[in-house]
Amino acid sequence: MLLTICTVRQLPQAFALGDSFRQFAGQAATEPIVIGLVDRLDALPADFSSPYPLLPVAELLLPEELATLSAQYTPTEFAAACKPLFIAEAFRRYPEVDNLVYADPNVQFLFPLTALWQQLSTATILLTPFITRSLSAGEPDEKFLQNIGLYSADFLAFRRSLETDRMLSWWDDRVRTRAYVNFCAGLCLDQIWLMHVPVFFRQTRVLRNAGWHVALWNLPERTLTPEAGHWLVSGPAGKNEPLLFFNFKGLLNPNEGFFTHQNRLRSSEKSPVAVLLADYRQAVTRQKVPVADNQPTTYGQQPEPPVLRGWRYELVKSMRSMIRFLDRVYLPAIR
Amino acid sequence: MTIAFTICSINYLAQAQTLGNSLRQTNPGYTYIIGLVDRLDQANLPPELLPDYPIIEIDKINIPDFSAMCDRYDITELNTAVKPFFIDYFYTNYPALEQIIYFDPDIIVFQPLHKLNQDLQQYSLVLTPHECFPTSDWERPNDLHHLNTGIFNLGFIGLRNDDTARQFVHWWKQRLVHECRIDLCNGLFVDQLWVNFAPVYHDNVLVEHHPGYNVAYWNIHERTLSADANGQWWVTSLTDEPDQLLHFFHYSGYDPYKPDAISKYQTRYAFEDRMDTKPLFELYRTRLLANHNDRYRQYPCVYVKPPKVLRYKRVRKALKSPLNKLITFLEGQ
Repeated sequence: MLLTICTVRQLPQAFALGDSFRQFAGQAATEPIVIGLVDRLDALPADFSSPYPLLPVAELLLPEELATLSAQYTPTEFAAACKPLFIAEAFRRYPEVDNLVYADPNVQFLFPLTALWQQLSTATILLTPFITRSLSAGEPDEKFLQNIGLYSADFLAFRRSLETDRMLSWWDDRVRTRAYVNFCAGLCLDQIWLMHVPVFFRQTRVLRNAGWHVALWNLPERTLTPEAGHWLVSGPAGKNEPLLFFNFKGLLNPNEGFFTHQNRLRSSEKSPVAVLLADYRQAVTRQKVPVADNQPTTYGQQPEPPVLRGWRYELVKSMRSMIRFLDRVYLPAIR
Repeated sequence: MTIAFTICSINYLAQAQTLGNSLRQTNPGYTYIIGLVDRLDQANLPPELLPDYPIIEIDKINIPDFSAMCDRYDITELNTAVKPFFIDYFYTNYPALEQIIYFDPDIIVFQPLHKLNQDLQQYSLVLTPHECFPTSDWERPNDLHHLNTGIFNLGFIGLRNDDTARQFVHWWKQRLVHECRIDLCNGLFVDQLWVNFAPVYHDNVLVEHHPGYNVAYWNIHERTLSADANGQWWVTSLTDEPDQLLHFFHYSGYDPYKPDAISKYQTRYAFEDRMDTKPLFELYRTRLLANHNDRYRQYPCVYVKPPKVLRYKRVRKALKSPLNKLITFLEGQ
């Protein structure tokens, strides 16, 4: 099955994701496709019928806890705090399901997922790293990945097992109350906690394959070439692998995600990325959802950190480095 | 050829000597070398304090622009930053070298490391995680601390002499020239946090779960120790697997002059709660004292600088204030 988590505003992306999964998962593995909603159902018109079942977060948490979490988190942190809970609930609600794929609404599947199901037959948890080779000079630098975690929480796959249950219960216990983005405290959403997963849960597998989870952050280490009906990817860990799935975070909406100021990838109009993005845009706009683009979200009352652009960004950056200098510079005593 | 080495200053030579003696007894085939972040010519040790093991001083291994590194780093940062430089020095200068094992000086090895040597015939790197099972409370250290300071403990690393390991060491060296600082907000914690990347960049890395490796305050929540009639130490872990022999114990943060504390870095256990570990610490204390710890600790390291005093805090604050205001203004737009 597929699970995603989104707000009402992100529903068109979630539906596009669902469609792509339906196309490539293979018949036996497709259903159900469930959308965890970190928003209120009544934000949608009463007569709206969703192509995929919606699971609102209010069904998972008691009103008091919902209010507490909403008050302490930003919308992004709130959604992250609920992720393990949603996954555990999906396993509970669909007892016939063995394999569960979690994907961020920015993900699109692009090739039959046989390889994914094959991996899950010998592993219980699948993770994908952001990058698989040391980064060249540019922004963000390599150490920034230590702040956000080396494995992306935008794609996870689980096989129903005792180990998966243990992982989800551990993760939920850590993440529900500690999903803040606070680098100094070692915190970053649900994602940085995944750093422990390959060590704590022995049947975890880390997939470095070039065709898995291609995205803004790893395109500089991978090359895409078109092939009849699909794409081939080459990267540090493999050559000419079919492009299994792509994450459009930071490409569709440049202000989303942790790579808002990345400067390694500069795509031209005809680049493979531009082609993929244009197709994806179409797949998203095709969805008919009667909600405005600026529809406010219900949960997560703390403001998201602002994303500055242009001269504002440059100015703030140089002022921050001046502050760092003033904090550290050695001043001899005047006697 | 297998080199086992440690890195320390003269004030830690009792530890390095204790580690060396344990290796000589358990793994006599290893060549044990002490990498010294200090200068013997300036310390003038009396003959009885010169260890029985080869010593290589840090200023002798041709670290490019080493003096700039000394200026940049405090003593903890410097001691950790030089680790891959020593490894690289061994790769270059010992043509018959097959395996390198680094141990922090405050370790005792209890067994022949056959499994490690065997694994290093197959894997390029062997790393030990701080914990193989989550902590069940929020005492120090817990799951969260390791997110900031590193999944693996770099008091130990095993390396094969192959392309992958050399490539990793080269990359590690480059990082540590400027970024072996402790700056958690910016994703830096000495040499250790960088090693999180090793299994992500390389296929051939063994993450060792053997409960007898690198036993220390950070993993005794998942390990219990016991000695049998022959004086062999065993480790019981939380798995269903049979007990394993204790391979090496890491006495990190233990002070022989404060023998009632397991480690200055932890808050979870007092010895009353962990009587199983007490004899191991007493053994260590006895050995350190017998190895002249009292005398070595009197020698100040030549690379220690006086702590930086941040003067004029009010002036700094006044200068920063308009900058901070402008940032708040721009971000609020």
